[in-house]
Amino acid sequence: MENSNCKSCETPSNRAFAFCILHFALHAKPPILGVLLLLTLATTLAAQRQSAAPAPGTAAVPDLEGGWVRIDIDGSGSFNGLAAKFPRAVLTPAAQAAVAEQGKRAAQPRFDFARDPSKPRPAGEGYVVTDGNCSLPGGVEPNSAAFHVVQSRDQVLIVRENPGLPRTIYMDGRAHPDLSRLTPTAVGHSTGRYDAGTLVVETIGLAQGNVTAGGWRTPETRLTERYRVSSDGRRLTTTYTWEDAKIYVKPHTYQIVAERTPPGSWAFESWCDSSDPSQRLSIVPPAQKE
Amino acid sequence: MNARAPLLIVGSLIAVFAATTSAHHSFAMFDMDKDVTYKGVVTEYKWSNPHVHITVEIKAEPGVDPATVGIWDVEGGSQNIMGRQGWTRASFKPGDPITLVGHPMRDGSKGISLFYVILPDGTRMYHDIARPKSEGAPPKP
Amino acid sequence: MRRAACILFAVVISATPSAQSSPDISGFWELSFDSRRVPAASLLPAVTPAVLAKRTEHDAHAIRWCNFLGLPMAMDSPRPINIRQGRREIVINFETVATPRHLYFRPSHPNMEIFDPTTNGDSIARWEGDTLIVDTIGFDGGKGVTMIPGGGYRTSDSHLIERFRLLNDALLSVTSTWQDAKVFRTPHTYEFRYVRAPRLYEAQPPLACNPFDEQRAAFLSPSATGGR
Repeated sequence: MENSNCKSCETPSNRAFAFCILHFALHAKPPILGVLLLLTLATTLAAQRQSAAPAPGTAAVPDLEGGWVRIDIDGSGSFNGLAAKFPRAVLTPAAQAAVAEQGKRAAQPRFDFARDPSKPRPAGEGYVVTDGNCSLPGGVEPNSAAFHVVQSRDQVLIVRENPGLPRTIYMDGRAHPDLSRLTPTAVGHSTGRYDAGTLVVETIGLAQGNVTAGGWRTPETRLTERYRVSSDGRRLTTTYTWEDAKIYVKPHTYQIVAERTPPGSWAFESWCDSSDPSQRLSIVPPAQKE
Repeated sequence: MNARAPLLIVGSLIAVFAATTSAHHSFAMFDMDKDVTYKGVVTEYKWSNPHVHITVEIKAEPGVDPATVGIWDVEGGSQNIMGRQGWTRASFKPGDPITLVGHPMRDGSKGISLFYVILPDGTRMYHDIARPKSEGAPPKP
Repeated sequence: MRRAACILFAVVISATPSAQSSPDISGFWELSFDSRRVPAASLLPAVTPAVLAKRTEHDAHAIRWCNFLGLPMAMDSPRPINIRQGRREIVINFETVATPRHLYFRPSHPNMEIFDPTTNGDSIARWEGDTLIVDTIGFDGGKGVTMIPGGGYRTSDSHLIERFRLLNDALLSVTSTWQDAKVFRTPHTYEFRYVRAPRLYEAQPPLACNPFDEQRAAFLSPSATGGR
């Protein structure tokens, strides 16, 4: 190869290196060596252009981006019945005891209307049903509010339209921190990867509590979610699998389906003001005409 | 006690604290197994949070169920939940006729948890994602 | 032969789709003590000290009751903001009491007749070269913290234009220009420069805000006199 001056060879950047190779190739003797160098450079640069994360909407990566709203595919009759047809969790005796204990706490009536349903409120006097606190912890499953997904190169972010923690799914290959360094939350710590058109998310570090369809979780419990979009791009099916040898006799699995929000729709804000007395109220019986 | 235990205790406290401070309320005060149809006139439409409220007046007329006569407070969902079901702040106004299906209060007071309204063209506008037990969208592949 | 090789080279390169044709501002970005350049705003005569005092009172209520902060305060957070750039939108999430921002890559805002105004408004975005231009309207002037750095406050008529530009891989410039015929004599512009957080930074839950914490309420009370 002819030895040529190549000022750009001294610069460390990829672009300068490419120009350097190009320079040698164009002045190489014999010319066939230059051709081979050019072809090698071209394919290397092409590979680099494609080495950023594959674009969503390809065979490898589902197009999850946008707004989604859960749908009631079973005809539940009410929000409380949405999981009625899900397979029930099969728990260890210790986990059954924990669920029963939590159920006792939840059954305690918190507000006076629930303590004595024989005394209806008079007109104008509202039923106080919450303490008016606007903060919600969030969670790993959608509720009736829409949720929005954005896929960036090394992170998938899921935000709800209800108050609550977002789901930050790290896609850069990082591992979960040790549990001793995690503060458990309603959304835990999530890492993800794409697997043949499916987003697979692994989560640990969830705050102790109930799981849909009779399950239970602690920060050590592992949740695996598989997000798959239908071929027409309009439905998202997420399969939830909970595993924890101390809690589940076998993995606890169910699916939730969501539909994409219409094109052109926008995210809503769920306004709440704890100073507003109506924040605590449900029904206010109206005055009746004589 | 290992180093992880304090974090687990904190996590438990977070879970319990979150449950007691939630702004969401249960539907226990309504008879959720009863779907009653009400036909009346809107006197007030409050597009508000935490719940949209519709005040409906039902007059005693031939063909009207006497049990539904009166002035009712109909509670819907939050603005954003109802917005995803097609509702807007302009969906109703005072004076509009309304036909709705809802769940009455267990204690007999004039309150209703809205299930859905039936629009003049026969379509339904639900207050949230739940659908009647006989229905449900078939899953697509 | 060299000419043929060059042509072949050009064809291979140009035929390969580029993974990213505009800059990617995704990342965790934070403000440092020297990140803000904020001139004084030129306010209309109608914006009197009494008007500003009422605004201050309104904002104090929002803070006291842990209301969603909204713009511009959410972008002036002591914690990193998480910007995630997708194909159809950019989401900015905050580790404070603020709802996420959605910056849609679309040409127009929704019908404001049915749009419910929010603390963040509705944002549409487009690239102009290496600059992301974000246009926001649809604010609710009665919600959240409304005061604007440099003076003035957000109303339901406010119009915000932001310019996001990577100065280098570790520095993101965001220039905000507020226009409001009820508040500003001339458009009010200021710049924040965000520093990229360390690569392995992880999102944290927001700092707790309990509106029923009496000690906190006393601390924030206008009549509080400080001290221990």
